Amino acid sequence: MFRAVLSSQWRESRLAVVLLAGLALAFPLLSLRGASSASDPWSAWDLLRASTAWSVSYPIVALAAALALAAGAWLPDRRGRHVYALTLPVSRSRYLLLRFAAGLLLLLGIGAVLGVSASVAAARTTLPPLLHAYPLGLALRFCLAGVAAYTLLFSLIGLTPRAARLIVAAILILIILGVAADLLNLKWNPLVAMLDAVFGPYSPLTAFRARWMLIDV
Amino acid sequence: MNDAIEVRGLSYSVGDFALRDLNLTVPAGAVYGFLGPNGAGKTTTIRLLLAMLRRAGGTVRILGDEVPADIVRILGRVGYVPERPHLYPDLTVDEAIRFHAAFHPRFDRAASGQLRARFGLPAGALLAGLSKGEMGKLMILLALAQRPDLLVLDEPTDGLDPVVRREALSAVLEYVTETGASVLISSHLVHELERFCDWVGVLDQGAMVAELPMQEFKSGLKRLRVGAGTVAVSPPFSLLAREVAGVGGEVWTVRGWHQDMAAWFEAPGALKEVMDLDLEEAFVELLRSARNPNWRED
Repeated sequence: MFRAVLSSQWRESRLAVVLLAGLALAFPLLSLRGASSASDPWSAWDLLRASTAWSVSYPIVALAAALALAAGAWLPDRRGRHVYALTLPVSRSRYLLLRFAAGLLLLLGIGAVLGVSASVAAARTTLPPLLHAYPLGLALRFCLAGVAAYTLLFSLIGLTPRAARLIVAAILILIILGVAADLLNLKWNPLVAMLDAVFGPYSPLTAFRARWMLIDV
Repeated sequence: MNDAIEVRGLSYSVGDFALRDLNLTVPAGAVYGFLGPNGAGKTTTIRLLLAMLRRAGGTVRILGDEVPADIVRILGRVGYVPERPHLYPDLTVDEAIRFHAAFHPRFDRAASGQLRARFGLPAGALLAGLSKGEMGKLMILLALAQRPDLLVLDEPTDGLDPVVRREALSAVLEYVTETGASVLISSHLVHELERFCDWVGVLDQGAMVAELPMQEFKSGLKRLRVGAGTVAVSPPFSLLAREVAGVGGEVWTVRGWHQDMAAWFEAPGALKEVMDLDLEEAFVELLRSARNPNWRED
């Protein structure tokens, strides 16, 4: 059953998965290309600068993968107004779990590609003293952030139109309140508080705010 | 033996549309034609039966099990063909069959292979590229290959050309003959069901207008040519419609007719001819009388 769902998820998202896995493969290798050149090896400063510059790309790939896979998990059923899924002899919770797990597996696959690529790139680089490579940490961060975003997006995209409208309305109200609080110079701004909560240290999305460095001190 | 489908007091409403206190019984082994004009509520009823919608009241039992409590078990025994294609368009025919088979433990791969060959469905073709007829045949294939005890077909041949329609219905008939499965088939193409069904239920504006064996439905409905001035006071049949027909005569459409009732026409020559109605005519007259219950009064 899971294989069937995985296969349908792959069909739906394969272009995005191949593209994003390609990026996950390329970015670490590109970020350290030429770092161990025999004639002109990079200094610690060069390595840190390159690592910092490329660090922005990994959360973007994680977010894009989460979005593509969450959408891919729902789109086939959404097109058929969920009629097919509702007539399969499987409980709704189990079907949801199967769909969620299929997308998750593909997401972790992209994370694994990043881990391998980062490990190869790090292994090929001679690091100056005090610098360390974190290929597995980077891959783990990618997976954690990706899973958190995927879970959130999977839930949001799976909402009924009515629930989605309610959430959009709530966000709009929050923005209006935030702007009003700003104009009135209030100490407490609900929009800022909400963003702090979503991306704060105790939020699963906090991984997106961290430093996505392949090479660091 | 339990009825294949037993619905009592089903009610549901959305916007202006409402199903009111609907009773429906599909006897085990019957081929039940669920008739009704567009918008009568056939698809809604079917979706309520299969727990795709939440009913407001009433009870539904399918194959002896309660809906929605036992819906997973029920769906394992029900082959469903919806009104509109619902399969994933990115899959190929073969992938769609494999996907369906993965969820249905009784799925018969040999039968699906035979049906695919019989319907001429290309294994590698994407569903998005299939014609309407091919998609219709694929949905019938999937429903039959899962070896269901009950087939629920919601306008399965709507929009299909006559050749495809005949192919699809033949396959269903063969399956039913072979297995004794029950069928609920909804359609507004009345003539299509005439040779196919042994029970018929007529739904109109969310209410069940009639439910009876096909033979009774057809035989009790007649068109009588009567002389002018014939008065219909307390007839032993239901007078559904009366129309002036040419000079000095009327045509009555009646329900519950028996040959013996000719004696009711006392005046000699008052009853000139008794004509059979085909299912479509009977259906139209039934709807007409249901919508205007008082107009037939003398």
